Amino acid sequence: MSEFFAMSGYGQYVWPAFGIGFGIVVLIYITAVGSLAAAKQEARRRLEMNPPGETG
Amino acid sequence: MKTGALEAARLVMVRDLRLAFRKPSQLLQPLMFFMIVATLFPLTLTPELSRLRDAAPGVLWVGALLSSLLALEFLFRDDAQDGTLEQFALSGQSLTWMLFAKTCVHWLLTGLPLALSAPIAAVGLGVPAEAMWSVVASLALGGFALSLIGAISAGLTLGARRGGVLLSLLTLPLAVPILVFGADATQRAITGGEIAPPMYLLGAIAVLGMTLAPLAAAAAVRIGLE
Amino acid sequence: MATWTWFHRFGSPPWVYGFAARWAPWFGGAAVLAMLVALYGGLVLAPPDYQQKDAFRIVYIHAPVATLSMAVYSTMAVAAAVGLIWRMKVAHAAASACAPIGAWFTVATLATGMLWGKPMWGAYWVWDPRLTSELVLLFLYLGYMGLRAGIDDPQKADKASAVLAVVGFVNVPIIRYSVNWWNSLHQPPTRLVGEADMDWSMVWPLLLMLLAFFLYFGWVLLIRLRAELLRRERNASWVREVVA
Repeated sequence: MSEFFAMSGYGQYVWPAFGIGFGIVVLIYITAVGSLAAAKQEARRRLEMNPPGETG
Repeated sequence: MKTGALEAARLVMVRDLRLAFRKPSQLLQPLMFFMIVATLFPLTLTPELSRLRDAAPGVLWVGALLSSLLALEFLFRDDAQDGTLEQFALSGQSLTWMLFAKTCVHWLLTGLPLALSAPIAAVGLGVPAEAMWSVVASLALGGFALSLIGAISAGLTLGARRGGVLLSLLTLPLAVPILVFGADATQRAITGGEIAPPMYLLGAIAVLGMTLAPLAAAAAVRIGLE
Repeated sequence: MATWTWFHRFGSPPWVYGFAARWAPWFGGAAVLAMLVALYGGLVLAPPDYQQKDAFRIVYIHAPVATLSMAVYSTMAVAAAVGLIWRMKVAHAAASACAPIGAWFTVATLATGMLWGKPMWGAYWVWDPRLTSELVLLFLYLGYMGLRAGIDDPQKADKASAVLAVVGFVNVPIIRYSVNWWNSLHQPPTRLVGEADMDWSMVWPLLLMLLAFFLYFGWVLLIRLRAELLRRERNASWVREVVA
């Protein structure tokens, strides 16, 4: 098991590489979901301010 | 009498040159900027000519790029502000050719003088006399390619806020191949190597740029004028 | 005919929104599953490399993000071109949605590449053609996003950034082929199928990981695309129905 973490001596490069790589991958997802949530919230806010059926 | 595209381009070229020479002091500014940049490096790096020689290609080309970027802002700005650019676009003449003419003028007034006066800066950077012709040639050719690329980003940033900074940011990625090959040519000239390969590549970029860049710039300008 | 109805549907923001909402979870589920399997295959099952030992395993994160950084730009450029030529709002929205995704993939490429370069070449960074052009790719993404942000008129922003995306596309083949054209520290492309350079047990996790990442790109793109469409079409009635 410790062999697995050592990665034949390269562990200090391999694990951070996967960490940063997949970390960014997760970040891409989080920012995407965040932007969708923000867009929905913005649309709801506008809907409240100008309900349909009213002019303007 | 219907003017052809080439005739319209020629007229634009003559007009731009005439306008530029009305303010000769402005013509010198990009050149002065280049000289100042070239001076900053010996001041901040080292006064030893032998070490400066190693940095010379980079200094000359970065200086040329920065100077070109500075002058690019004025490529379309005045004409855009007073409506001339709009008239060009509406005239029914080929906007592509007219912008190509403007780009050529930009090079004639910035890139070419810079290339011709580069030996002055180069001497201060330890470049040997035998290399001077190659330095001038590579900077002239590369400068032309830079003007072409710059026209695209100048057109794209016409309607943008803080367009000046954005223009530099946009030009940079596209200018990288020109810098890489140009600096390579200058480096080879200094060390006495064969400069033909990078010069051919620079030439190829310039030719490709000549055919495509004015088209892209015209598209960009039309978008900006809408 | 059938192709045209399909094409027209993709021109309709509400239809695309529904399509994206319906399909995104499938892309996501498949992507995560494939990633987990590929990760197990690459980290545990694959034997160590003869020369690089276990350091080669970085390929399982580096190669996918690198491939995606270029694939996303290509998608962005194609979407931009479609938007310019056929004046499709949805295409411009798709291009805009691609940019932050691609930029992050490029950052990931550079970061994982640096962590692989240090043990292999002794340096975190070298100015060789492939690394330099990947860095240039990042500048292109940032320039694209900067141009969009700098132009106030949304339609002008769409068109101007589309021109930039198309012009900048020339960088992608340069990255791809730079290792063939120049003597480079970065290794040349590895043959994966047919006359393979690597053992199959090392290849299949890589291929699966690549597929996983493409599915993942589809997933996040469909999410971001919905956000873009909602923002752009804010006054449309279909938006009211979706959000209420």
